[in-house]
Amino acid sequence: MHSVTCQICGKRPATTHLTELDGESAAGRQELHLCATCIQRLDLKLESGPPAIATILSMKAEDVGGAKPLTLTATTEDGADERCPHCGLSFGEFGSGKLFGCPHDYTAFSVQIDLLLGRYHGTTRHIGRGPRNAPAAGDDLSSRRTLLDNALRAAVAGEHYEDAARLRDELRRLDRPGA
Amino acid sequence: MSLDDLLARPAAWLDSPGAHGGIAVSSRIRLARNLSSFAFQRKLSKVRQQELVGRLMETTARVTGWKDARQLRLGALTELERTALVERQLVSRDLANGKHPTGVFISRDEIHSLMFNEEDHVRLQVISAGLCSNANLELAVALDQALEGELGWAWHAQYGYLTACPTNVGTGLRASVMLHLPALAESGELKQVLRGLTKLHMTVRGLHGEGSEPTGHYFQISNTRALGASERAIVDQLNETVERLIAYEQLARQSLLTTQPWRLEDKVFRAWGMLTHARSLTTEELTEQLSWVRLGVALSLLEWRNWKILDRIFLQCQPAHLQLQHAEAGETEQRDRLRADLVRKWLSSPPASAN
Repeated sequence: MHSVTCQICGKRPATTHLTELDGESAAGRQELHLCATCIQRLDLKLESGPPAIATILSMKAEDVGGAKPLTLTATTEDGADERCPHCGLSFGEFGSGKLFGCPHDYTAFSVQIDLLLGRYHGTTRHIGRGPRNAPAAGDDLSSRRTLLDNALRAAVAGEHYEDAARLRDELRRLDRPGA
Repeated sequence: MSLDDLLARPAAWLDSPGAHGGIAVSSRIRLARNLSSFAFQRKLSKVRQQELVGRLMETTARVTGWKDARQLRLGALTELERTALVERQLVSRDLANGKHPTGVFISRDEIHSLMFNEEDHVRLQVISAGLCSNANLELAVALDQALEGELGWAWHAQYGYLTACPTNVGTGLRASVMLHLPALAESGELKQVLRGLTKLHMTVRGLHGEGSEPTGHYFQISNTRALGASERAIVDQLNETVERLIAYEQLARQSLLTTQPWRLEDKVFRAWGMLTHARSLTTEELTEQLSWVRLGVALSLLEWRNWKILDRIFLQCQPAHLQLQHAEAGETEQRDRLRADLVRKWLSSPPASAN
């Protein structure tokens, strides 16, 4: 088994492992793996009883909201082992039931999701209504480019050439918004 | 809480002839929404599911302020009662058959219905008779906005509203229209017409939506793509498609009437004969024959014309509706006999009461 990566920064190896049990079922079990740097950065006082995992994760959301999604480099095959840090679903498990485990899966598996949505809907971006206070879709062009770029590379690597062509077209559209 | 008073009422979506001489029966808008603070069902413990349903029930009641709305936990209902809600198109089969904690919130007029803890946390439905997807969308959006402020929907700047299944992500919208297309089906052209829908990102289902086979020449047309087009654009495209299908059906009716009137009349009068004389009727027989009588009324082939009675038969003769309202309808055989008796009785109502 390979070493576990910190679920906050997604880079450094984790040195601290928290397990939380919720309710009577195994589905309620939640794990969180952290590295020393992130523990220090978030000022977590673990020795005096760690805060709830959800609390740590919400701190994470504010702290590194714009960071790269954790599994960005995973290809579909390798991604089967990657787990959503929030609900513990692996992309392989998603494939069997075609249902996600929690809203965070869309960030955790964004590369695979871009391919999936492109194939089913013919596009990967929402047009239409949103929550009244939410940032409008496409507000953050640079991260959008990173996402498309990574998805394109994954598509080429996986020899999904139709997907790749569509992603390339989307990237081009991004460069020329008027086109 | 007993469902008796609910079952005896007409259904919101069944007010024939609907639009275009009985062709467009009903329109439905569905929005799929999830709370950002809860995992989706497959990763949510039973305890949290209970908590979720409770919170959704409480919030919906408070936000709408609809005192006469009905709130039901499906676990507290019998299997028959749950089936009756499916027959009234107020809940999905999945919700009715689910073993996990679920709930439904139904407005008194049955136009609004919110399913809780189905595949998504909330499935908000607006359904009404005739061709009215635009108005239904406005109603759905208004309620969605009111709830959103209280509940905080799971949302992603790129993907839009997040759903358990990626086929619903984006708008979370499924807009559908139920059409009655007997002439097109009889002409043999329907299959080809419906196949063309795939290219337009539309699909066809039966009376009870997902997983149901078309019966009685009823076809539910709906969008398959929820992402990459605005709610308005999705509804516009549905309207456009539906209008074209209505025009095809009208053409097919005229064509049958001019080229082979005897064939059409034979279908209609055989059906009329069966319904006014049979001593036992299965659900399938009734649905099939009622369809031809409906067409006969629409084309004035029959002297008898009373749309309200047709709707009443359609709704009230479904298995669960019969069993819950008639003590003697427990066994299939008794039920089929009762169904035939009721149909004969209702069809003998004087034509003077025609609308």
